[in-house]
Parts: sequence; C-alpha cells; structure tokens
Amino acid sequence: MQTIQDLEQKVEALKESREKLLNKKNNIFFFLTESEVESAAVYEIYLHAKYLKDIGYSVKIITDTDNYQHPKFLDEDMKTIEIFNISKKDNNLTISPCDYLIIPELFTNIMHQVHQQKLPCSKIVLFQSYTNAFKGMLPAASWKEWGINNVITTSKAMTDYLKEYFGKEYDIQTWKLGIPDYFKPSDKPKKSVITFFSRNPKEVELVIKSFYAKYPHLRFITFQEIKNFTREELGKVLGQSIATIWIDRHAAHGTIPLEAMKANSIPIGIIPELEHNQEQWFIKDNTGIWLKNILKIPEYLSKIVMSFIQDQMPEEVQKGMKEISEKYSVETSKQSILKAYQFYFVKRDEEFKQFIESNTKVIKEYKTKETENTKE
Amino acid sequence: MKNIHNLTIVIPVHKITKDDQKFFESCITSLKTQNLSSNEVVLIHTKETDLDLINEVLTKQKFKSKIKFMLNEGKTDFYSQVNTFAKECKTEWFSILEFDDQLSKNSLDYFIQYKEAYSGIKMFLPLVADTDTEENFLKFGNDMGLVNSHDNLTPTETIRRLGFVDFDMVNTHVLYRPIGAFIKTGEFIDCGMFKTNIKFHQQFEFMLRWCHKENETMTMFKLGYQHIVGRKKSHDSIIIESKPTGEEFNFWLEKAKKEYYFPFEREIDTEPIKKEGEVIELNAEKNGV
Repeated sequence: MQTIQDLEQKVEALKESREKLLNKKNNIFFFLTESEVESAAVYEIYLHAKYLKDIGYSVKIITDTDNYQHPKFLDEDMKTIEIFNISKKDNNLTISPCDYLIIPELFTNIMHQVHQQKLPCSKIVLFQSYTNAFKGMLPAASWKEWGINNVITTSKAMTDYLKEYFGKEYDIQTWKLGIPDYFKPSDKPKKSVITFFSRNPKEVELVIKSFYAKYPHLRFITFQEIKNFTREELGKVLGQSIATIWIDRHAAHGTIPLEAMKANSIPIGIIPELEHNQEQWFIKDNTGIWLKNILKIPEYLSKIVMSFIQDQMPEEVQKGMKEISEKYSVETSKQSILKAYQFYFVKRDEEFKQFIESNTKVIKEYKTKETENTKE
Repeated sequence: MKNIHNLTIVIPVHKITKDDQKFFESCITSLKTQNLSSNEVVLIHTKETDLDLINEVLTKQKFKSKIKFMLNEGKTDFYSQVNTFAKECKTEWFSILEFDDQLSKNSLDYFIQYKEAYSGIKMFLPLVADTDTEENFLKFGNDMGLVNSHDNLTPTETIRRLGFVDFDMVNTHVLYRPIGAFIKTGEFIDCGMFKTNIKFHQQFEFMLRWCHKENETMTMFKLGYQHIVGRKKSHDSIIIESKPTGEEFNFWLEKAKKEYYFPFEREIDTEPIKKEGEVIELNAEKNGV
C-alpha cells in the first residue's frame, strides 16, 4: 500500500525528471537490431537520432544484437551516435520517467518486454512500414495493450491506416521526408543506365528480360539495382541514370521515387496499394510514369530511352519532378521531425505537471488533516 | 567570321548522280538544323564529281555560302578522300559526313556538351541509326560502345566506365564506325589515318589502331547520325555486289587484326584469296571498297 511518504518521494522524483526533461538532460533511446528493417527506414531512424543529438539531447542506439555496428550506408556523422548493447553482461541501462524509448513497429517483442518490465520511460512507436506492423502480433492485439499510445509516422495516409486498423486512441505525429542535396543530376551527360528497386527479384527479372526481348535494339541499356550503396553513392548513381524502376506495392511513402526525381531520373513505378490523397503524395501525371501493371513497364522504358537519345524528354515531366522534389527539402524534414518529438516532450511534461500538481495537493490536504487531527 | 567550335565537317564526294540527289538534299537539310558557325563544312570532291548537281542542291537549300569546296586530285576512293582532307584540315576536330547520310538534330550540340564534360577524349562516337533508303529504322550502330565489357568492377565503377571504348571492346565487337564521329585531327594524322590497302574492314582496322595507341574514345549516349544502308553504289552496296566469299571477308578481317599494329600501310600478300585469273583491285574507284 502506498504511504504518503511514498507519494512525496514520487512527487520529488518527478520534479527531478521534469527538470531533466526541460533541460534536455534526459535520454532518448532508439531500439535497433540487425533485422528486416529496410535500409531506408533505418536511415530515417538514424536521422531522427542525429537531429535530436544535434540539438543537445543524449541519444543512444540500443540493441540486443551481439557486435551490432552502424550500417555502412549511413552518412558519416550518423555513425558518431553511441551504441549501447543491452545483451552485454556488464551493461546496465538505467531508465527514468523522463527518458524516451523509440521502437520501430517491427519490434513487437521489445514492446512486450518493456511493458512486462514496467519501464517508466515514455514509449513511442516509429511507424514506417504497415506490413511490418503486424509481424509478431497476435490477431486483434494492439500496441495499447503494452501501454503505448504515442506514434510518429510518415504521412497522413499512414495515419489514416493506423486509425482504421489499430484504433483512434493513439496520439499520432507525422514527419515529412527530406531528400539531401547530393541527390542531383550529374554534371556530366547521363549514362545508358536504368536503375531499379523491387522487393521481388522475380518481378524485376521479368521486366528486364521482357524489355530486352521486345526491344533487342536497345541492348545497350544497363540495368543497375539500387542495393548496397551509401546514400551519397546512390545520389551519384541516380544522377547518372535516365530512369528508375520502382516496384514496391507496400510502400508507406516511397523515398526512392523522390530521390530519383531530385536526380532527374524519371521514376517509372507501380502505384502502391496504400491509397494516397493525391495532393499529399507525388503520383501525378507530370512527375513520372505510374502504372498498375508491371507488364507495361518495358514499353514505357523504351519510350524513355528513345526520347532521351533524341533529346525529346517531356519538359513538363522534368519540371514536375523538380517541383515535387523541392518540397522535400532536408530543412523542412528536420523541422517536422523535431516538431513531432517536441509534441511528445510537451505531452510528457504536461503529464508530470499534472501528477505533481494533483499529488502535491493530495499531500497538502493530507498534512493539513493530520495537523488538525493532532491539534484535536 | 570565326569557326567557334574548332571543328570541320567533311563531306567526301566522288561520283554523285540524279538518283543520289534526294539523299544529298537530306544530308544538307540535316546540316542546316545544326548550330553551325562559319567555315565548318568542307566538301571534298574529285574532278569527276558532278558539281552542277551539287551546286543545284546547295543553291536550292540556300547553303552554298556555308560550304567550302576542296578539290582532291589524288586517289578517289572514300578513305583516301578523307585522308587528303585531314592533311589540310586546320581545325582541332573534324567529323566525316557521307553525302547520303544525315546528322541527327542537335548532333553538334551533343558533341559540344560531351567535349565540355570529358576534356581528355579524342574521339566521340555517335549512336548511329542505320535506316533503309526509305528511312525505316533497321538497327543502331556503335551501340556496343555503351555497354560494360569488363568484369569484376564495382557498380559505381561500371557505371562510370559506360561509354568509354577501349581496344578490347573494339576487338570483341568489331562494328565501331568512326564515320560520323568527332575526331581530333592531329591524333587522326599521328595514328596513320585510314589505310586504303585494307578491304572491307578499313574502319575496324583504324579503330583497332586508334585504340591501340590509347586514344581515349567515348560513345555518346545520344543519337547523332543516321546512316542510309543500301543506296545503290554506296559502300555497303558495292561490297554486297562484289559478292565476297566468306574466305575473302575473313582474310581481310584477319589482316585488319594484324595490320593495326603498324601506323603505316604495308604490302599485303593477297595470293591466298586470289581466284584464278583474277586481279584484286585495291582502292576501288567509287567508295573505297
């Protein structure tokens, strides 16, 4: 049973936590491990960590993978973020109520463990992939059961999806993707390259072989998979390619088409299944070629190649790509990320404040009553 | 007025007939669409060239003032004409335009763009569209210059190397054509120019020799040239009409693969392919077969 002294201690502890939170003396932990989290999502996680670190927070990547290392494709300044391995014997992590644990949607096991261990920190799900969200979850289970109702996600469409399938009780903040300036057209003439990304190698194989079979005179085109490049290398590769095939039906947002647009490589993609409000997304007639049927891709590729070699690339498409990609600036993205976290910092502060105020009142009332009783 | 691109486009003409007129008209039309400056086009002809026909086309096209004429009093085959011109060429670059072919729109702009981006390159090959006499597309030429032929490169290095043509690529794919390319004049002469004693494979032998000397060569990823295949009395037609045997064709291919090593013409023993009673004519009159 909780005594008034316990309550006083809690109030004092929370005052201390609140002080830390307000002065950025708290910790922010991002859980990561070597897993199926795709590289674009991992990059965004590190980006959040870096931005928070840059404004003075203590940020760590926490992991339970032995010998976890920063992925090679990260920007160099991201690799300075401290890694804390909780699986190592002598590593003890102290977590306070003012701390935050950011958990990618894939790690439902961590959500469960954190709940079981009653960790006092604030938990936020970083929701980038709706296909990963249900992995490891029992049917009809939800994050709320693990005491989590804070989410940060990438778009209104993901927000709508979350509300529809997980419920409306979550606090959801969104951030805007940003494409760095090293994604740009090469200053030399484009090469005879078409880049591609797909989750299903068989589909891409079908597209490429169909292309060569139907258009053997275009045998000089080289197809290059977007894989295992650092981001800066990818910027250079896209800058040299004339088009980028993108087959990702479960994309939550789609970084690659935006990167391709910024590098003036025409995206030719399959429209993802998550419905998007056209105004909020980039699938428009003048931003690339958007299809529902992959069998149509070779035909459009041949048109792009023939247009390119004859200097007949449609100007309205190049203009459209430039307009869209300019909306996804690094600075806009950074501000939206910090704003999202700031919402939860304020929310937590309000929770502390309410607890402190209401329990201070309780303590005061109790003490007053005690004094009166003593007098009597 | 100045030749601002430091380039001369040479059109070698020997015999031209009324049947060829429409091709020559298209050739001149294609020149008119280029961003030419002064003194950039030279027509090298022989005493047998029908200059009236040439002038008729140029006058009709209002292009006469833009072309300089050069008389070649030496050997009249196509490759000798080019060599004669090259020795007199005053510009840093030159390009060969066959009188029945066409430059693609923006061909000159592509060359300028690539020259600015790749300052060490000595020959820029265009992507060539081979068409029939009705201008129906048949296939691309020089396209293998855009393909990576080297293993064990990283993806970024592979992409970087796309377009660069080296000796191994020429030796493997054979079909690179300097006709329509933009070539550094000095290097062309130093290399030994075209050899007129090689039959059928003059361009291949030249390209081997050129690359053997490590002259940096690049294929532009742009359609720069349209080559008409099958015009009567053109290169290709004469080769076909002369009905070379497979043995003859291979003989000259093997010769090309050996002679590239020498920057000068050597005497070639044609005894192995001589048919009984036949005299093999080198430097054939019309188009250098």
